[in-house]
Amino acid sequence: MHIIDMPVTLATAVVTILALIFYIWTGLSVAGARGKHQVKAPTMTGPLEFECAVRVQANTLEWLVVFVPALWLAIVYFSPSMSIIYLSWLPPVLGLIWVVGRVIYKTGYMTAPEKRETGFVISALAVLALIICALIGIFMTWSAVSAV
Amino acid sequence: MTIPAITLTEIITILSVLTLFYTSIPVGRARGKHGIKAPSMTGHEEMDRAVRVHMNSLEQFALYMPLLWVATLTFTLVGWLPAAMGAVWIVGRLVYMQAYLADPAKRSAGFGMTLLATAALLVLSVIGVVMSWSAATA
Repeated sequence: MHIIDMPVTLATAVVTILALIFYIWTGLSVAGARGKHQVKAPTMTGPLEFECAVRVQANTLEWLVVFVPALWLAIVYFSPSMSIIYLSWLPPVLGLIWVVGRVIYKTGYMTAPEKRETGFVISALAVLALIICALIGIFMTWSAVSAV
Repeated sequence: MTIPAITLTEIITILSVLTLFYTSIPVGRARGKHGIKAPSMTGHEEMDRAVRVHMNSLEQFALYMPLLWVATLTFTLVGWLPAAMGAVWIVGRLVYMQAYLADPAKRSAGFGMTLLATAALLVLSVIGVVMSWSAATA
């Protein structure tokens, strides 16, 4: 079976779609706050609710560009290197944790800026774990290739 | 001769990256024209518009690029469709850029076009994943 058609890869595709839907949601919150508080483009400042929504979207974008490549490098290199089936499912599970962490981050930030930390740390740790998985996977694949 | 779907998406990916780069040019131009030194990101209405066009295009790019590839790799029913949606995204971005720089109130049409392309890719991705999943577990 080709890697693209494996259930673990398809689960990763689902997690990617969920992450992107979450990101659309952060953008919709900015648009909503723009309308509610009459903040016209290109202005990016205004009432606290608007600025919190802007920060949530901007920070999610900053993390998204790290998260998506790390997730897919992990699925391409880490999952096929793992002989234990549970370990091969680690990347999509970590990806799901990232999405949940981001939802907690957004909810916390929109309640009060100082409540953003819990969700931030959860999603940051998930990305860190994915990068480590990707590195382990690349190392193992490299070893296997050079052993031939 | 038919061009493979992946090749089409590869071409669209390169064109999309070039489009994103193209949206950054007015920022540099506004910087020079109005003497706005880095790291300052404000200073003149023209600069503010250019910054927003670039930033919004980056936001949309981050959303669209993974969906383009998930759709291309999983939705094989009509292979060229994801790449065609990518072409719509590129045209939409160019329309958005021209309109926003001229008048921020006119940015909706181009924005809607790219959003429509992204939404279509989201739908194709979901269908593609479900179809591939059914095939894999059959």
